Amino acid sequence: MSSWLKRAALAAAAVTLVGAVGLEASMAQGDPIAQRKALMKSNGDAMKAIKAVVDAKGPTAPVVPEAAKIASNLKSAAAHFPAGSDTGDTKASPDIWKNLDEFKKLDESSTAAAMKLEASAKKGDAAVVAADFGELGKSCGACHQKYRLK
Amino acid sequence: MGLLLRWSGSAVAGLALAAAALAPPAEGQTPDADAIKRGEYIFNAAGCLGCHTDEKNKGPRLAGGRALRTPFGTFHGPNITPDPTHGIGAWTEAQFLRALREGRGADGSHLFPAFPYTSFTGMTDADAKDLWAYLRAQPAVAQPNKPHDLGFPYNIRALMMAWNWLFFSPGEFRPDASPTPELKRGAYLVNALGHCGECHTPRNFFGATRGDMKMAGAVLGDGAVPNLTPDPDTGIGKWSPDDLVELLKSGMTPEGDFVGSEMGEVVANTTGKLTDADRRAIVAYLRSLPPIRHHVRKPAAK
Repeated sequence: MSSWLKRAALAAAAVTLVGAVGLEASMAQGDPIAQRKALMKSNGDAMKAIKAVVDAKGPTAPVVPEAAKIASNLKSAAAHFPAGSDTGDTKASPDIWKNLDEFKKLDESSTAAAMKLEASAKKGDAAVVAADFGELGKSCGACHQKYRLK
Repeated sequence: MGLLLRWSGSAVAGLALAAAALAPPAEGQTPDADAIKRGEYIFNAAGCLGCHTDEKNKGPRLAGGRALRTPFGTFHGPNITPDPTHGIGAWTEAQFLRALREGRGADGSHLFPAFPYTSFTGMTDADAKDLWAYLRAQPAVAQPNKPHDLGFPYNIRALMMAWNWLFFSPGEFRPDASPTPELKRGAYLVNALGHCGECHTPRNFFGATRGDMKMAGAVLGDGAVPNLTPDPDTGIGKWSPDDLVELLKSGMTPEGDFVGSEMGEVVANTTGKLTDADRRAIVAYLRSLPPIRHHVRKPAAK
């Protein structure tokens, strides 16, 4: 590779990095409602991607990073529901702050379900991956049923 | 009831025999394991659990108490366990069928259409009897019913006579003449058992569902209930059948989101427990409805 190309690639990488750091920073400083919405959107995209793989019944490797992303998102999810973030443009149920312990437990069990899916995707048995994906979906639904308003 | 419980709850033949010897069941009341099993499917398809169990406060199963808020007041789903005092243990099968068909209590008094007899009236005899068998086999819970909290004049049960005359047409479900068996099954699941229109069809001034706006979506409480007609812009016209089946099965939308609140509950208790064939029938039927352009807007926050 010629040196200018290398430099261009480096510059592009730097821009991406700065962009990413900037985004992280703005997410950290922004309001919790926007943060958790971005996080849930990221989960949705990952679930969508996983469903495509599961439906295709092919190799399960592409599920691994997506499941890992969901697990990592969910690990920090409860932190994005600080007291006082129940009003505004949000579908979060006020019940979250009444039953914070249970809400956190549901978050933890969803995190565990995502990690289980990640592990089974690494092993590569498509039937197990499909079952674990179903379980994760149930876990998502269980929390939304209780704590997400329509 | 103890007999029924033991009968369904125990595989020990000797115990069942002993119980049978103590209290032989009346003619025609022999608990039938197959009927109970079929009845469980009807119970799920008809979504009985949601209103008759106070899940939010971890109330005992089917012992009632869940609050249903409406513009007419707050209804509390009653106890439908076989408890003879507080539940429906003293009811006969005929009284139960009449409740489903005509909206009448055991004593003949008018039930309010918060209980969707307006939909259940379409239930077949066989399904209604299986449902009865299932309910009889559940544990009795001696929990008193909470009274409804209704304003005047909605608290006058006798007024339901006029309401029924105006808005209620009783009778077993009659599907349209032409459709395929799948569409017939879908129509039965949606209209008679699932009572989807009780939330997805808007209501008129008197609280009756509007025939001209069937499944076109409605405002319920402070939320918008989606339009289920195949209109491409405001309904399900752009959804693929597979996406709709998936939503009914797992609650997952094409965006990877999961439905919450009431529909989350419906997926968990009802549509997620149906057979794939029944889910497909529901979707086929909804897609066969006349498209109605109706954008449901969420009411402004108070």
